[in-house]
Amino acid sequence: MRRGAEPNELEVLYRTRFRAFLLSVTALLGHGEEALDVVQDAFARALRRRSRFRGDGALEAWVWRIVLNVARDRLRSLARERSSHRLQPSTGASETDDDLRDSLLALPERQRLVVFLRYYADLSYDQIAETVGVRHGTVAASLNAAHARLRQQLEEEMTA
Amino acid sequence: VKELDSTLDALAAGAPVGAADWNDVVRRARRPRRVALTVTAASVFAASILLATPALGIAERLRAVFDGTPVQQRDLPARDLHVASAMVHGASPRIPDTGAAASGFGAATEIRELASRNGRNYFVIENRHGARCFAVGPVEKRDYVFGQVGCQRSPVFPSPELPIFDFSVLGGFDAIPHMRRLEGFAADGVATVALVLEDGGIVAETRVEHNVYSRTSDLPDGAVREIVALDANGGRIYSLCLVRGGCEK
Repeated sequence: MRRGAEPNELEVLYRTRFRAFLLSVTALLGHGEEALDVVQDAFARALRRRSRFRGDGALEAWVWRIVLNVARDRLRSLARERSSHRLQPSTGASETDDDLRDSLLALPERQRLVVFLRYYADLSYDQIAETVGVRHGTVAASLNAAHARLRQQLEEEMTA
Repeated sequence: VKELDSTLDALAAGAPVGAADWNDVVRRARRPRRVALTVTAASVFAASILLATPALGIAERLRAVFDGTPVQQRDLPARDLHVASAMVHGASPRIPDTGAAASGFGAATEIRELASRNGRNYFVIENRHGARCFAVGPVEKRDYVFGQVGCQRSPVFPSPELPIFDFSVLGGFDAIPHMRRLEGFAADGVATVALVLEDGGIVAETRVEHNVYSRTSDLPDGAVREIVALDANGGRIYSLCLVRGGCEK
């Protein structure tokens, strides 16, 4: 079994998938500058720890796991340590969009993560499963549950 | 589906997608091995040490009254006003906007801009009972004004126990972080804010003006142990320890 990743492999991954990583983390943290810092730190960590990549899965999934761990650390630190609230950049969205956004952010963490990875990173079910550490079927079920929940929320709001 | 797509697009709208910089990744990777620590400096109050203070008069000055230019609420995006006014009244910023409006939080909130420095605006948010929150946001026009809002109530800022409210951005993967941006708010009695390196050297001394300190250049590449607040004589009046586990050796 292969061990380790080459620096140029990580660089290629960074250059080709930076946008996907950044958008996903921005959605998770709700703050673009923090997200950029997380992505940069996560790739730096991957570069330092590249010898630990065992090659028993995709390199991208391995890096995703690092990125998501760094993002979770950041979220926990911010939430735990200070009474502050990072604003979601408002984009002049409609009230319905605002409601939908709140519903999205209220999804259980795994469902939200699966939605983000599917949408922003365009990962396949298998890739999401490998990244999140769940089975293929769980990814499908999470996406279905998230969509159902959001659809129900939207319908309730439209009929209210 | 269309609405979901637009909502997801909006969630990531603030992403600086043009900021990819592989060289920066390499630089970060070359730093000494670190443990994830990417908190704002204000997050380490537990390890902070109050060094001195109640010399005559200084305790009062460290409480300070913040001046600044009033910000018209009509000039603020509704969501910014909602979050700021809810937080300064001790309410959750996640309550529906109508909740804040109905409770009159917005009308009972005063917001003043204290300073504008290094591409960022600094604000104080007050309610009628004297509670304060503080906010930082970009100078360049975006569809939001406050990038971050913070309220510090125990100990309260400003006070002799907490003469600075730090909003600095730290990064790195070690028990000792490095500084990406030094910024925050300071009481009147604080003349400068500086960084203490691992070897005890004091660098990046930054003058407090209009109760704000801000520095984005000439920051040390290496690990930073403390943020210190100094009085006009250079005396250390407060230390914010950034080292996991404390700065006492």
